[in-house]
Formats: sequence, structure tokens, C-alpha cells
Amino acid sequence: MAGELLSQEIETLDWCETLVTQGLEFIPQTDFLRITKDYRRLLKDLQRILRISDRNELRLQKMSEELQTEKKRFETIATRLSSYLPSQVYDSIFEGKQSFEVKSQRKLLTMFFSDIQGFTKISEALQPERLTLLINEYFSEMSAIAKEYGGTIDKFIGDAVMIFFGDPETRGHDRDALMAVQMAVAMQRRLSELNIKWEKEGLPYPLITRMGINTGWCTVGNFGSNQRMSYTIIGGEVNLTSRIESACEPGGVLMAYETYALVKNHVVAVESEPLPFKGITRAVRTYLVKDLIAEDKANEMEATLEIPGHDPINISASQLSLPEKLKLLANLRDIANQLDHTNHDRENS
Amino acid sequence: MEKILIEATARTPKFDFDPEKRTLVLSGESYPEDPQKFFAAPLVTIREFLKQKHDGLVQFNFQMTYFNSSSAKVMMDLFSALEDCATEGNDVMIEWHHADDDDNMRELGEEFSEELVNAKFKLLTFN
Repeated sequence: MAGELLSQEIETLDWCETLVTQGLEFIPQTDFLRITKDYRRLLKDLQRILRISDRNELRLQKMSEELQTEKKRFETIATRLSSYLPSQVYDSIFEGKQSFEVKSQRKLLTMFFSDIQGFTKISEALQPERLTLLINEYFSEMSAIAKEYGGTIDKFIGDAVMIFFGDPETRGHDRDALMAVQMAVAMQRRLSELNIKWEKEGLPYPLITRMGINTGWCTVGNFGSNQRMSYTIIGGEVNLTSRIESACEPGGVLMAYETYALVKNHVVAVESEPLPFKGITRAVRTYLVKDLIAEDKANEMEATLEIPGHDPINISASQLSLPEKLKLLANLRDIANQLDHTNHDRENS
Repeated sequence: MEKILIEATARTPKFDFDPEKRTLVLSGESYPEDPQKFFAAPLVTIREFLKQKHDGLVQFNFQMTYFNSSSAKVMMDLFSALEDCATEGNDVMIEWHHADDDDNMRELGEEFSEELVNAKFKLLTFN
């Protein structure tokens, strides 16, 4: 800082140096008084500036601490809010990719619906607290699988789950469709395991779900008003997915032809009778998933289980439906776990 | 001598000098990126003005909410020049306005006014 802001101080200094160069033996008292007066003024100004600077620093420090507190509070709120949004939508908001307008666009998506068969009967049989724990555990498990396969969880409606693939991120239409089908099979597999666990915990009826998958053009985006909006999908194809799910056999996964066409090289499926739906002129072709095509061709598995003292059991995977296969798998795993546990106890005793 | 009107920005104050009315109002926040560049020219004019003889009241109003060290130096110099102007026989009034709840700004006004003998000084609040 120099120039005009310190012009008076510089002037005093220049004058003092002039006095020095004059080589005077004595400096007149008036001159000396002027020097000391200016110097005292300079000292007072310096003291004030130091105090102002220290105060400003303290103020900045306090503001920084307040900002830190607000930042932590914001992060806590953001984390809590994240539970109410699909994780992909939440991430895209914080990455600045998400629009906050009531706006939508048309996209080719693969949609998934599921619900629990006979949920009313189950909810009447359980205490509300037990039912809440059960349904939350079910949703948590299914949500984890959805996340693993990259599905956008749209909403939970009672016991129903709505998920879509292809927005906000897409891996390509065929990959999105395959992820949806693989997710559905994984969900059914997991549910078979959970039913064994819940039966041991006293659940009177297993949770059996129907799952429907369809691929089609939908409108996706923010719907509602600027004060309250929801990120979701709408359109005839969404409704159709829901109807396909309703027509699915319990424990199964039923998909529309449009999805099957994209995944047929990776899924074993059987064509069902075309389904007439009210309001849709064409009969909708559907395919029931039997299994995923694995490289070791597990679908062609034929095995015989020999247990001493019992008749041999022949297992032919190709003759089992998906629900039957998954239930058998879950039961066999459970039996194996129990046997292993028993053997372990015997070795340690 | 011409008027000086510099509107406030996010970092610099409003600088409103009217030599005919013998008034200066300095208001807002002051932490310019280049204090020399912002204050130099106006200060030359103000110093020249305060060295003159005036028939009526010279009134300078300060209504600051925040200022940095460089700006503080400018205000201290203005106070000093105003005091010299009053010592020469002029009628000088300095008003220091601060927000109701701003003890910091009130204390600064009191400090700046410590050296005043001949110039009049008022401490005022605003909401």
C-alpha cells in the first residue's frame, strides 16, 4: 500500500530526510515538535489498524466456524433426504445434472413392477409391529438388489415396488432390459432364502411375489408443481407393466415380448398365452422366465441325490419352473447349512 | 470543484461528495481489491476541499457496515483532515452511523473520534 493513502507519512519522512541532508547541528524546536506530532499520530493509527485487523480476523474465524457448522448440518439433512429419493436421482442432483423444473422427456425404458400375493391375508395374520419389521426387511433386501443391478427405485406403493432402468443413466436398451430381468431373478432367489428364515421366525405364510417387466417408450422426469414434485415415469407402457405383473404366476417373472426380444440370448423363457388387456387393442405377447442362461449350462443339469436309508432323488433342472428351482435351491442351501453346523458341533464336542 | 459519486459495489462503498452542499457520505462495505486505485483520486479532491475556508457547515457522514485495514487508514486520515479543517475555524460535523446491534462499528467510531477537539462528533444508530 503506497501512494496517496500514505502520502502524508511519506511527506513527513521526506521532510525529515531533507533536514538530515542539510547537516544542521540543531533542529529547531518547532520542527522537532512537528516530527513528534506526526510520529505520534502515525503510531496511534498503527495501533488502531492492528486492533481493527485483529477484530476482523476474529470475525472471519467465527464466520468460518459458523460455515463449518452449517455445512455439517446441510450434509446431515442431505443424507436424510437421500432416503426419500432414488439414489441415482439424488446423485444427479448433487452432480448438478438434474433439472429442478417441472419437466419431462420421452425415453425407452425397461420397467419393473412387483407385489406380494395375498398380502392382505398376511397383514391380517400379523401384529402391526411384526408386519412393519417384515415389510421393511423385505423392501431393504429388494432395494439392495435393485441398487446392485442399477435400477432406479421409483416408489413403494403398499407392498408393491416400481423400478425402472434407463434413466437417469442408461447402459443401452438391451443391457438395461437384461439388468431388469437379472434383478428380478435375483430378487426371487433372495426371497426364497428369506422365506426359510422367516418361517423359522414364525411367519405363518411365505411371501410370494409376482413380477412383471416391460420395455417401452415412457415419459420420465419431474411431475407435479414447482412447490412439490416427484421424479417418476408415466405412460401407457407403465400401466401395461403393472398389468403384466398382475398376470404373472406367483413366484414368477413375466416379461413382455419387447423385453424378451432384447434379452433372449441371455434368458431361458417360455412364451405364455397372449394376454388381452382392457383398453389395449392388441393381445400382449408375454414370456415367463425359466432361468438365466449360465455359461456352465446349469439348465441342463440332471442329478441324483443319494441319501443312505432313503430312495434316491432325481433332479432335472429343465423340468422345474423358476419359482420351483429357486425354492429348491434355498431349501438345499438351508439343509446344507444345518448339516454343516451339526458336523461342526460334533467335531468340537 | 466537481461532485464525486461512486455507487457501491459488493466490495466498495458508496462515495457521495457534494462540494456545494459541503457534504460527504461514505456508506456500505469497504474492502477494495486495490485500495490505492479506489481511494487515491477522491482523496486528493477531499483533502484540497478541507484545506479551503467554508462559509457553512461541513458535514461528513460515515455509514459503514464493514471495512478492512486499508479503508480504516483512509477514514482515520479523513478524521484527521476534518479536525485540521475545524481547527482553521470552519464549522465541521462528523456523524458516525452504525447498526443497532453492531458494537464493533460503534467502538470504531468512538476510537476514531478520540483525537477530535474542534470538530463536532455524533454517534448515531440505524436499524
